[in-house]
Order: sequence, then C-alpha cells, then structure tokens
Amino acid sequence: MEAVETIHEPLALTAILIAALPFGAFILLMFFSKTIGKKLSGSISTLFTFIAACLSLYIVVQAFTTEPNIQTVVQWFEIKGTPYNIRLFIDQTTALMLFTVCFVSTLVQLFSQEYMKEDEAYSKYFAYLSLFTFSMLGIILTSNLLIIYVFWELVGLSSYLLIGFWHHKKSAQRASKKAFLLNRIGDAGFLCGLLSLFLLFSTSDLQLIAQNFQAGNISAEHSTILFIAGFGIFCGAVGKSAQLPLSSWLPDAMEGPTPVSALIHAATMVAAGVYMLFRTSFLFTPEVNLIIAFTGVITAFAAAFAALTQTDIKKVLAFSTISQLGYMVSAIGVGATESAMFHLFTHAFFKAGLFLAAGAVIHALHHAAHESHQHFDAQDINLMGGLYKKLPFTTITFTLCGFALAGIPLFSGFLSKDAILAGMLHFSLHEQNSLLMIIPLLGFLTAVITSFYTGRQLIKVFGGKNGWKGSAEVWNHIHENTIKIKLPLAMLAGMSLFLIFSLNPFNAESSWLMHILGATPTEGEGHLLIVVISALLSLSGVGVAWLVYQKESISISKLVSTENIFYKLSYNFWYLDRVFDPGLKNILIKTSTTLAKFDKKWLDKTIDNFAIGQVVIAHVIAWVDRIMVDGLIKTLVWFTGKAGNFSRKIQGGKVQSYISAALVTTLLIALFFIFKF
Amino acid sequence: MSENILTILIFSPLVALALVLLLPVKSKKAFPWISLVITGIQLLIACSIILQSGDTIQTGVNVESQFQLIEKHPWLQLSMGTLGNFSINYFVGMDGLNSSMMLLTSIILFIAAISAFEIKTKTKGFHALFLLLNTSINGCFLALDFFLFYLFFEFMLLPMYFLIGIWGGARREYASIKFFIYTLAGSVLILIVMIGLYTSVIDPAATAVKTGLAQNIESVSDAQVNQIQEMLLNGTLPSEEYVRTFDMISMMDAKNYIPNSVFFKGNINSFFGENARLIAFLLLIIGLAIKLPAVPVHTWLPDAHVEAPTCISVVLAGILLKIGGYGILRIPYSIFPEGAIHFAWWLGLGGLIAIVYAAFVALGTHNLKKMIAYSSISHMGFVLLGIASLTAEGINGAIYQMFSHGIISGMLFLVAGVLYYRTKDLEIEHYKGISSKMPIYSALVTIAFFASLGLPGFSGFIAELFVFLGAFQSHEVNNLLPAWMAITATLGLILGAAYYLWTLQRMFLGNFWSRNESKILSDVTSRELVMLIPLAVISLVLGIFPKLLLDLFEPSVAYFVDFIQETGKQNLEIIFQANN
Repeated sequence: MEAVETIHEPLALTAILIAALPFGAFILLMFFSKTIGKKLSGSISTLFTFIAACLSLYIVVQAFTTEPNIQTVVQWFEIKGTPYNIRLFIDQTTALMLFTVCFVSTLVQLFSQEYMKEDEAYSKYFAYLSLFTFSMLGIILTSNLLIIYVFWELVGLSSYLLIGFWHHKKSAQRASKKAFLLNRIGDAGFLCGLLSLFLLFSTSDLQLIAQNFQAGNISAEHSTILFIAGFGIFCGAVGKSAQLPLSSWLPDAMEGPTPVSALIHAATMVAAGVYMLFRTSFLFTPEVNLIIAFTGVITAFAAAFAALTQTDIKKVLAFSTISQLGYMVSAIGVGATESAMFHLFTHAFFKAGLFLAAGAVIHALHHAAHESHQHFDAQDINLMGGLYKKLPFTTITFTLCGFALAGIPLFSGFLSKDAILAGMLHFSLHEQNSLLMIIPLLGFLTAVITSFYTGRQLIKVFGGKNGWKGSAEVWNHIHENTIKIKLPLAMLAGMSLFLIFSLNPFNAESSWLMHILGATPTEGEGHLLIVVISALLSLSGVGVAWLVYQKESISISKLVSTENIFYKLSYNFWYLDRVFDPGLKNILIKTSTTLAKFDKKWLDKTIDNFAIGQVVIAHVIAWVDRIMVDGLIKTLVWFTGKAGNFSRKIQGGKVQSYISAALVTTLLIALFFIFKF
Repeated sequence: MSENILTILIFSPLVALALVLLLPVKSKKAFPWISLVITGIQLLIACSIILQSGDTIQTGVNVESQFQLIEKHPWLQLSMGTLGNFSINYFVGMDGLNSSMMLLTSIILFIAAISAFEIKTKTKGFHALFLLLNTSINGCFLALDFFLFYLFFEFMLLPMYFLIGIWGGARREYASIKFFIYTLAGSVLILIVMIGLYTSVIDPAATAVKTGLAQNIESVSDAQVNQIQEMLLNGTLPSEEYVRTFDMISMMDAKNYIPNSVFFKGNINSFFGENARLIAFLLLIIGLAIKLPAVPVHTWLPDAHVEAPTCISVVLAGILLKIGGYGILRIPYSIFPEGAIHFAWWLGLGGLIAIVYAAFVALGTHNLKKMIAYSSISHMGFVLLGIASLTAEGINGAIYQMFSHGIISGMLFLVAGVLYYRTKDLEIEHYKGISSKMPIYSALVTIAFFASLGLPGFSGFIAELFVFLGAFQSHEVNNLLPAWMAITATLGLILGAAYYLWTLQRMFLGNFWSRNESKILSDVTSRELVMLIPLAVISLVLGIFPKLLLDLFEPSVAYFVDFIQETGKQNLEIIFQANN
C-alpha cells in the first residue's frame, strides 16, 4: 500500500491510532492471553478503548474548530490502471460517531469487568469486544464503500462470535448462526449495490461518487442501475439494522451476554445500517426512498407492537431497538436524514443505558438466586416487581433512560423523535398523496405504543401494586451492584437528558447537533402542534401504563387475554419466527437435500451406469469375439482339418478309389451340362 | 540465477526419485525426509524466482520475447517428405499467467510433503509416486509446447491413480478408476485438438532456417518471419519446407496457419454445422472443465477427495484443479480467442451453475470431506465466471481465486485430515461440541471456514470481489455476460455461510459427544500446526495486501484481455463471413 496523497495532519494520525488501539487490544488478548492473565486482560482492553475515547474527544473538538475534512488516501491495489484507494475521511458526523462508539464501548467494557468476571473465557470476551470496536471504527473512518463493506462483514463476525459466546447453549448457537446468515442475505444485496456503483462511477469512494453524481454524469439508461445501487445498499441496512423482513435475528441475539446487547445490538452495530444510509442518501431515487420510508415505519410499528407483550426484560428492549431503528430508517426515506442521525445518537446513549440497567437487574437477581440456592429466571419480568426498594440506583437510571425512549419531554429521545415525526409529516403533506399519510400516522401510533410498553416494563420490574412476585429467599439476597456497574449507568442516564443536545427542550432544530448534521431550519409553522401532540401522546402512553400496571384500575386481562389473536401476534412478533424464517430454512434444506440426492442418484448414477454399460458392451463384444469371430476361425480350422482328412483319405493310394472318383466326377460334369442346356 | 532454473525446478524431484528407488525398502524413515527436502528446495527456488522477477514484469501471453526464463531446445525432429517436418521442442517459460501457479505449486507441495509423514505403509512407493507427481505438475504449469504440456498433463494421471488407489480409504479402487477414466476422457478431447493444431500450424522461425533464409533460430529476424508468413499465405512456400510445430506461441498467431488447413481461420470447413475452430475451442474447454471441475462433469471429485489420503487431497484441491483453470486461459482462450467471445455466455452460465449448485449440494451432504469437496467445486465456479467475463477484473479475480483457493482448500483438507487421522470417521453427525475437547483445532477450523466463506480480511474475499466486479461490469464493458449472472452468483456467498456455519454448529459447538472413542481426540500436534498456520497467514496477508499477489499477474492479464478481445472479435467476423 502506498500513500497517494498524505496529509500528515496530527488528526489523521490520531484517527488511525483510535482504530489501532482496539485492534492492538484484540491481538494482545487473542494471542498473549496466557501471559497477560485473566484479571489484567479486561483492564487492558478497557484502558485501550478509554484512550481511544479520549483521543476521539480531541478529534471532535478539532473537527468543530477547524476545517472538517481530513483526507488521506492510500492505494490498496490497481487493476488495469484503475486505482482502488482507501480514503480516510473525517467530518463532524464522523467525529461524533467516533466518540459515541468509543465512549459507549468504554462504559460497556467497564460494566463487563464486573458482569463477566466469573466467566471462564473472560479474556476472549474482551478480545471479541475489542475486535468489534475496531471494525465499527473502520466503518466510520472511511468514505470508501468497499472498505465499509469489509468492516461491515467483520462487524458481523464479531457479532456472531459474541452472540454465540456461551456456545454450550443450543439457543445461543442457533441465534448466532441466524444473525450471521440473515445479515449475509442483506450483505449480498449490499454487494450488488456496491457493484452497481462501481459500474456507474468506476469507484466506490463516496466522496468521488458524490462529486460525479452532483455533476449529473448519469444517463437515463442507467436509472435502473442507480435503482439497484440504492436498493442494494438498503438491503445491507435492512440486514444490519434488523428491518423487516430480516428482523428476527435481533431478538434472538439477546442470547449473548447483556453488555454485548447494549453495545452491539442496541447502540452501535445495528445503527451502522442507518449511518450508511445517511452517508449514501444522496444516491437514492424517489422509488428507493419510498421503499425505505415504508419499510422503516412498518418495522417501527410492528416491533413496537411486539414489545407490548414480551415477558423477557431483554426482549422488550430488543423489540424497542428494532422499532427505534425503524424510525431512523424511515426518517432517511422521508428525507429527514439529519433527524435520523440525531435519533441515532440519542438512542445510542439511552438504549445502551437501558440495556446496561437491565443487565444490572439480571446480574443482581442472578447473584441473589445463586446465593439463596434457588432456581430463578432472572429475565422474566412477570416474576419481578418492587425492585426500587432493593436497587434504587438502577431504578433511577433505568427510569431516566426509559423516559428518553418513551419520548417524554425534557429527555433526549423526545427531541429526536419529535424531529423525525415532523419530518414524516412534512414529507407526506408535501407529496400530497393521501396514501403517504400512513407514514406519519404509523409514526405517531408507534410513539404511543412505545411510551406504553416502556411504562409497562418500568412498573413491572421496579414498581407494581404487589411488589416482588418471586420467592422471598431470593428477595432477601438482592444487593445493589458495585461501582463498575453504577458508573456506566450514571453516565448514560446523564446523556439521556435534553440539555446535552439542545438548550431548548422542545425544539430539535435549535440543537447544535442538528446544525452540525446539516439540517436547515424549516418554517416553524405547525411545529408547535407536533411538539404538543407528541408530548401528549407519550405522556398518555406512560399514563395508561401507570393506570394499568401500577394502580391496576384497568384490568388488562379482561381487555386482552393471552388467547387473543392480537396478543399472540404481538408475543410471537407476527409469527415471523414461525413463518418467514422456517420458510427460508425449509427452502434451503429442501433444495440442498434434493440437489444432493440428484447429484448422487442421477448425475453420478448416470456416469456409473454409463461405465457399467461400457463394461456390459465390452462383455458382449468379448462374447461375440469368443463365440462368433473365434468360432468362425475355429469352424474354419475344423472344416479345413476335416477336409484335409477327407482328401487324405481319397488320396490313399488305392487305384479303385481314384477310378470311382473320376467316374463320379465325370458323371456330375455330364449331368451339369445336360441340365444347363 | 541460472538459466536453467525452471528445468531444475521441474526435474529435481526426478533426481530425488532416483535416490528413493536406490534406497532399500527398509529405510522407511528416509523417504518422507527426501520428499520434504526436495519440495523445500523447490519452494526456495520458486520464491527466489518470484522475488527476482518482481521488478521486471513481463506480459508474455503470445509474445515469446515477453516471457521470462525461457528454455527452448529442439527435442524431436523428423523430416517427413512432402508432409513437411515434425518438430517438438522442450519449451518452458514463465509469464504472468503461470508465475503465481508455480509459486502455489511449490507451497502446496511442501505442505503436502509435511503431511505425507502420516503415511506409514509402503512409504517407498508412495514417495516415488509423489515425486513423479511433483515433476509432472510443475511441468504442466511451465510448459509452452503443447506436446510437452500434454505429456505432463497425462503423466499426472498415473501417480495420482496409484496414490488414491493404494493409499486411499475404503472405496479407493472405485474412486481412483473414476478419476482416471474421467480425466482420460478429457484428455482425449484435448488430444484431438492438439493433432488438428499440429496439422495446421508452422513455426515460422524454424521454417525460415529450413528454407535457408537464416542460419539458425537465434538469427531469425522479424522481417524474415514476416516473409515466411507471407509466403505461407500466398502458397509460395513448398510444403516440404513446412516445419510443423506444437509450439503454443506459434499457435496463437493466425499468420502461422497453413491456408485451408483444419484450423485456418478463413476455412469454411465445418463440423456439425459449426466452424472447426469453435468446435476445437469447445472440445478443449470440456477437456479442461473436467479437471476444473465444472458441473456436470464434477462427480469424480467428491469421490476422489473422500477416498484420497489427506496429503493427496491437499494436492488435488490445491493444485490439480488449477490446471483446469490455468489451462483454459493458456490454451483455448489464447489459441482460439473467438470461442472466448462466442461462448462467453455459456461459460458464464456454467460458472454460475457450479457456484450455486455445488453450494446447495454442499449444504446437503453429511460427510465433512465431501462438503469441502463440493465447496471446492463452488469456488472453482468463480474461476469460470471470472474467466468468462473477459474483463481485467474478472480474469485477475479468477487467477487470484485459484491461488487463494489453493491455500484455503489446502487448509480445509488438512483440518479434515486432522480428524480423520484420529478417528477415520468424518461423518458430520458423529460429532458434537469438538471445541471443548480440541480448542486449538476448533479455532483453526473456524479460521479456515471463515476464510473459505469469503470473510473480508482473507484472500478469498478479494478474489470473489474481483470476479463479481468483472462479471457485473462485463455487460457494460464488452457485452458478454448479463448483470443477473453476477447478482445470482451472490447466492453462493449466502449458501457458503450457511453450510460452513451449520457444520460449525453441528460438529464443533455445544457439549462434547462423539460416536468414536473420545480418548483419541487429542488436540493438534505441532506438526499439524506447522502445516496449518503458514496457510492461514498467507491467506490473511493476501486478504489485506492484495497488491503482493496481484502485481505478479496484473500486467499480463491486462495485456491478455486486450489480446483476446481484439483477435477474438476479428476472427469471429472472418468466421461468420466465411460461413455466409
């Protein structure tokens, strides 16, 4: 690799160092774990990531005070004069993403030191986490889609390794395989999109593509290819961001350790799809945008609906992640790309906070169960309740992050979700197609559902009229967690407040973040209305949840029984798990077994039979050879022998026989002539 | 460096063979060491050749002066009166098309020689045959005379037949005879075309010497060659003076064809309604596709692999299959370029079918080695698809894939061999959770599987990416392959992930269980590590720094593509004019 044009700015070097740190940690922990020892390995990995986080803070500061673009180009290889370059690219969005990933990763690793401390493969766990952080940073730091694809797959690998971390569990094995395969399906589409871009622009560098694209160098005949490009890239995002129909891997991914769920399957990796859509959004044709908008909002609604009835504390959060990602994706489709990114950032912090808080609950209950020698499902929210007495700190952080998720005013989630809803409404009003009103309507509906299920979960876990529903033995052994768990929770809960993102708690457009992302302030008309509506919706959702689960003044079991079709649809996530995935699996297995049979029974048999036929023919020919050809010769020999014997007899030297022979011959000749004439 | 370095590379195993034959059968310990030392020396030679030629990149293909390390000596010369003169040369040389294959051969044979320490019975015979195989493979990649190529190509069969047939598994006789007959059928097709070519082509330089225009071969000038070619075209060259040749480079120049001979491009003779040159292209493709192997002539491969001993599987998948892909570039494409354009669509389809079909079958098999064998077929489909696209990216990808697959499949068969060595049982269902019993081994298997399923960072990803780029751009660049072929081929990526991850889950993850005695399942030995780790490292390095390998053949391929496109189109026009 040779540098084509290198700008030796300290920033570029810092950026490379940021990515190199977690990679170094990965190599250290993978190959020298024995010398490092178990205890130190977690600290090393956390420390490395922490340094990376500090460095990224430096980049953020620099990116905001100086020219945002930092570019270093390195040639990777060259085919027939066409160079394939790697471009390091940093603008303000990149800087923020860098910080988010490093920051959340540091907190999660700190949390993990406590959470995973009894695990045998402790250092391997941190190695995988470092690998993940490295690959995620790779996606962020380059503007070359090909390199993004490379790291995209590596992120998939680390996700596979971490979901299947407890590989003795059958469910974990299945979940990891499923995650990788469903992602691969999306990635195949991504690859097609990548190939289309190569065809159109002879490069995969988004900077160059953007220049060419704005110059309008695309002829009309290439519009189909442009569609394939946009749609293909979107397929990649569908896989990674768990949109319909490739969603079902994300709830299953909860088989992995909970901190992993926080980092990978909530805050960062799944958001990579949205980040990539943001980067490539200029390429999307109106048709692609429409597909994106609808897929996103339908996913948002479907997953929120599923979250309503889940009983596993992590599953609720998993579905809510899918749902929130749906919001972001849809926002890209409706053209509110900045709002999508804004939501990505706010969501990264509050969702990581929620997962870690859930992890704190699970950890505390697991230990309590262990200490009291009781078997207890530490993830079933039906068994919990009243935990605020035992885990006050966790309760507060969970609630703060939960309010951000629910979109309660004064929290970060309210700002960003509000921006997305405004974008949706703006889009459908602008297009003047009544069918498009589905998008904002589903958006608002999802907002209510979201705040309701968040309230439900909060109350079922920490509150409730009757408090704790598990055994008293366990209850007595519950203790609040240590500082390594509390510190990350506190920081993430703090990031869920509005103040971090905007001085004005009700207007996302005044947020500094939106300005950086490139949003242009729109006319204020109707915005106030949206603010009021969404605030009311989210408050009412939580309010209803309060009435239903805390006060129990509305009996939910009367309204919706578990036998109800809607309940079943929700609980089973629209039977995606039972219809789509097994369908796909069946097609795969059936085709493969059929073809394997075909290969063996038909293709190979044909060849075998052909060979057998040859042998049979050979035997026939051998027989013919023996009986007919050989036989003929033998007959001839025999005949000749006989004739010889016969003639020898004739020529025996007896005068009588000579005379009789001459007589007979003469007679025969005479007869011949007589009859002939 | 010595001028005869390629000859030394090719024939040094024969010297070792003499040594093996001279030693008594009792000195069992010596034989594997002889193989190891000789392949080690070859590896050093190959590396030094590559390193020294690094800066002077030469394109080769159809220009003799652009080859490196050429050795050309008259071998068989006969005067046949009015039929002209019969001439076979010992002609070897290196260009971008075969340099990487030569390197791959020496790497894989060295690894295979380490693996051959596992062979405990009849070691003398085994290593004698192994060394014979070594010579013929190297010769096959480096020969530039068709006859010489054919000789080496055929000669590979004999040692291979016995190596599978004597040291193989339970159904070894069936597998070896199947392998033999299949490949023989392919080589008969090649033989037919070779004879046809021999009757059609003269060597202009040698003819110039014969006619007295020049004193000796070295002093023949371009003008004299042109003069001979003109005389040939005008019919003023008497047929007694023809020096007929098997020289492939002469065969690539249309001017060397005797007017109205079988493969003369203006010839209106046709067989079954097709032009003789196009038929010849097809025959060669079929002959070499059997070796590749392409669907539906692939069924010898799974049997051969399942029955072959580990080190022979490694050689078979690592190198022998590549002779098919390399041969397609060197022979039918270079000599009959019009076929490359005329049949591009069908070749692309063949590649696509191999990719998808074999991947499905791999998913449906229950034997680890068989699964790997089918994955080989699927990956070699990428080679065919890349070649068919006739774009620089596609053909670079095809060669890259051949190299990368050589390394990765070597690894795969070695890890299968590790298990087979311990239990003689490779049924996937007979194992569960091996990773808790053999953790290092399982980690290596995981690396090999992910490398093979095209994870970025490993060489396979780069290769497949190039092929996809080539196949997708083909319809824009040269309008040979439709874009849907590349898009459908991505199914291979998904299926590849499916069968590997499924196997990982079934065999390696979870709690340990095995039908076999668990005591014998010990983790990898250091000898096994010595084989596996270098291959993993090579695959990784080539996945991250593709330039290292790409620079070896990229200029040649760029030239090759232009050459095939241009001459192919010209020839095709002439053929269609002649037919109308």
